[in-house]
Amino acid sequence: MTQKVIVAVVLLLTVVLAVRWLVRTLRGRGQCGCAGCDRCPMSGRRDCHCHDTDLHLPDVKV
Amino acid sequence: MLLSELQTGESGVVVRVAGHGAFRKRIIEMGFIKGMEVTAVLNAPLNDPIKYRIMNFEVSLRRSDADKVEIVTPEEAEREIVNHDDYRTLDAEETTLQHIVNDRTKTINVALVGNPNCGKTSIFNVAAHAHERVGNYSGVTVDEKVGTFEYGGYTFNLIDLPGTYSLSAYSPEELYVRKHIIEKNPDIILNVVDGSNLERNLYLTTQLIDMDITMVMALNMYDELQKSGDQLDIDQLSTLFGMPIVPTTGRSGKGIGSLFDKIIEVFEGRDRKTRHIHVNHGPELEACIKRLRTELYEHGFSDELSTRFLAIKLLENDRQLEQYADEHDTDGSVIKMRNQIAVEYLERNKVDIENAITDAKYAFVRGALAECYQRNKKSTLHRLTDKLDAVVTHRWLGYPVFLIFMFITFWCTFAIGQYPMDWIDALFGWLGDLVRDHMSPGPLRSLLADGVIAGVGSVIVFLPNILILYLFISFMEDSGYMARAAFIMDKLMHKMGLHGKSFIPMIMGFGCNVPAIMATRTIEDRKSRLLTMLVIPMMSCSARIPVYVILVSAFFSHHAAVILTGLYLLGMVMAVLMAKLFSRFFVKGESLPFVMELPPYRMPTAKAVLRHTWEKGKEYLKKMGTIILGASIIVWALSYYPQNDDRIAQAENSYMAQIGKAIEPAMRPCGFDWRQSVSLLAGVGAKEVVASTMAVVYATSNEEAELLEADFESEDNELRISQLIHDNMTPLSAASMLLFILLYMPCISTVVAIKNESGHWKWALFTVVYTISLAWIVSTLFFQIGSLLL
Repeated sequence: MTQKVIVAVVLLLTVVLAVRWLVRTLRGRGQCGCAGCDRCPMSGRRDCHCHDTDLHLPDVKV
Repeated sequence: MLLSELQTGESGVVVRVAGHGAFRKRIIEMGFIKGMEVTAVLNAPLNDPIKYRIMNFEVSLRRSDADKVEIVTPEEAEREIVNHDDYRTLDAEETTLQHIVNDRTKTINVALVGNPNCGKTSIFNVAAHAHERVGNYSGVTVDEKVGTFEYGGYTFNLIDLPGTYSLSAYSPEELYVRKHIIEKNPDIILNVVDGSNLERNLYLTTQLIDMDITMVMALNMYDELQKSGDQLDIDQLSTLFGMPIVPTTGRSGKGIGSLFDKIIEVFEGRDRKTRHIHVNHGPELEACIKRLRTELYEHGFSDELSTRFLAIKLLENDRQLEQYADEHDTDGSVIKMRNQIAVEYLERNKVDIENAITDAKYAFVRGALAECYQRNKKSTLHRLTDKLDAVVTHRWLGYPVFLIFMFITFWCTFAIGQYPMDWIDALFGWLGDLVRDHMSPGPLRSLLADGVIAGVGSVIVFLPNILILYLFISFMEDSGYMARAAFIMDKLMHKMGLHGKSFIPMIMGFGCNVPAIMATRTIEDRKSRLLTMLVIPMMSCSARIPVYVILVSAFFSHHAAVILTGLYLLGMVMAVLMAKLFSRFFVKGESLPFVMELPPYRMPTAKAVLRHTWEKGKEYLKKMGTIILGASIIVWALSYYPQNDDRIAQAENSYMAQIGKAIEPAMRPCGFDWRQSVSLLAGVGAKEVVASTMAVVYATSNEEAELLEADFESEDNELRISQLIHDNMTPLSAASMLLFILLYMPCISTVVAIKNESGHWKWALFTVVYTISLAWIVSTLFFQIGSLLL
């Protein structure tokens, strides 16, 4: 029974974290080589502590 | 905040004045100096200009001019008091304000500007204690890196910009660097100059001088200059260029302290070498520049940008600045004047004025160097490079040398990596046994032994291989061989619609596809850049190594190095063929000529190579604790449930089996059963997950799995997972799966990187569709033809 409860908790946590990872990856977090924090400019925020949005090459989109 | 943001009636204290030349001087002379209180008195009816009171008299400034003045208000000071413990002890508001002003004026914004591969990032790394990627080829830095550090009582905000040969609007990097200098107004431009290639590097310096900005020059790679025996009178060069010059060696960090001491001196106005000079273009060109400058003055172009720089760039037909001029000069008289000057010059001299300006700048540089530089004609640095290039870039020898290098890379990756791989595999086997022996049967024991340890363990064993592969890639990048590989491949690449420069991101793709896609930014030509991006997923990234090794060691262990090298080469061939196909049907446009610097060979430092290798190893380990762990748990759960006492029945009816069997009909022509199909599906998130899924699926679904665990010791250097697979797959099916993994869709991160870099989901989805289709067609053909023959 104890094993079942622990496994259930682990599975629940894993699913939540997997969904979070997927959403953040699809937003492109951390792709510029930074640590990919929640405020990553690649996800559209402007207050990242690694670098701000303006710092990315604005004219290189093909 | 900026002075222009001050509301009527509000006050602030001046921190600094940005801008350049006469404009900055004028503002400072009006009293806008550090620590002076300024009050916004009133705004004109159209919100521009604004009247300010400073030193008990009133001045009127345009909003655009007020944008150049940084101030601190009492409200900002209040906020900083709350945020910083240091300030809480201060009582009087004015003292706090002054304290903050003093703090802010001790902050120096420095932008690193220089040619590609002149060592900007090396200086940046030493100064800011950062670990940004460096390499001995152009275009390693593709965006800005910002580092903050304290030195000599000052806070430095150091900005590493992409390398650029000039400040024209030819490539995105050039435009970007220019835009940064104009819009962000760094306090000091740190012009990094490669001491072993002065003439070309100083050409950029002449353009920076035209911009009338405060500069310090770092004469980098000074050790190479000394070693070559060349003689340079640094003091004389400094006088001729009107800026202090500090010799540095970025790789060892020599001279970096003196460099920042000099920057502080220049920032505080204590340096005697700093003076504004004009690069002399000769009497005729100077007359043309003066004529256009007068026209610019008459139309009010005097504040934002140096009029001399603007005039020169307009005469060089700079399209972006033409637009800028058009926006400010509605009757178009500036451009008319420019056209007239250009036509008159051409008629008189039979030479285009744009070329004449470039020639004049090089003439200035050559003239300056003639005064203070003497080249040692017996220098060995370039002779060694020439000798190596004679072999490495030889029209016949170049390709075999490249292939041998690739073979050695992959042979070492797999043959040498085999030993530590076996040790780690044994460690995880022991861990699994430990869990099985000491825990009572149940889902948690199965989760730990068959899910976490089998899944993560099956991927983590490949860490040594990944480290060895990166060691070789780092060596290629840092030695200068990467640029040669691009050089010998240019003709072939060009025929296929790509660019010689495309080859570097493609090789980088062997490490990871995401930075490789970002590295395509160095390709100026839009068509080649997009094509390169689309075919990079064909390059086998390091995440695919685990599954390659598992399958190869299960069935083809006697020819492992040949098969693995063949797979990588096949990926390259497919990439080139796809590029040809796409350039013909989907991505059209003209190709730009190949211009790429071939830097002299340099012996990579062990520190740089090992650091790069370790950074990549760290990333790989981080993935183990996150994506791979999560995926292993999910795959285990899908394989373990719903529970059934009969192990075979459970394996056949688990959720994983149900998903696998649902997609199996589509994959059957490729020769895959449900376990292979479901492993490939799981690899969409990250390619390593294919290996961990196989480990979990085969461990939980094989009735002999536990027996094998016990018998494993007797097997000859074979991974546990390889043995399980060997008993459940045919060699033909395994070979077909290798081809499928090589070609099928990249991981989600790569898909998103393609979307971000191309600017459209369209190209990202196109990549997904074409790679899956291609993988399916190639694997099906291979398996079906193989089945007929065998």
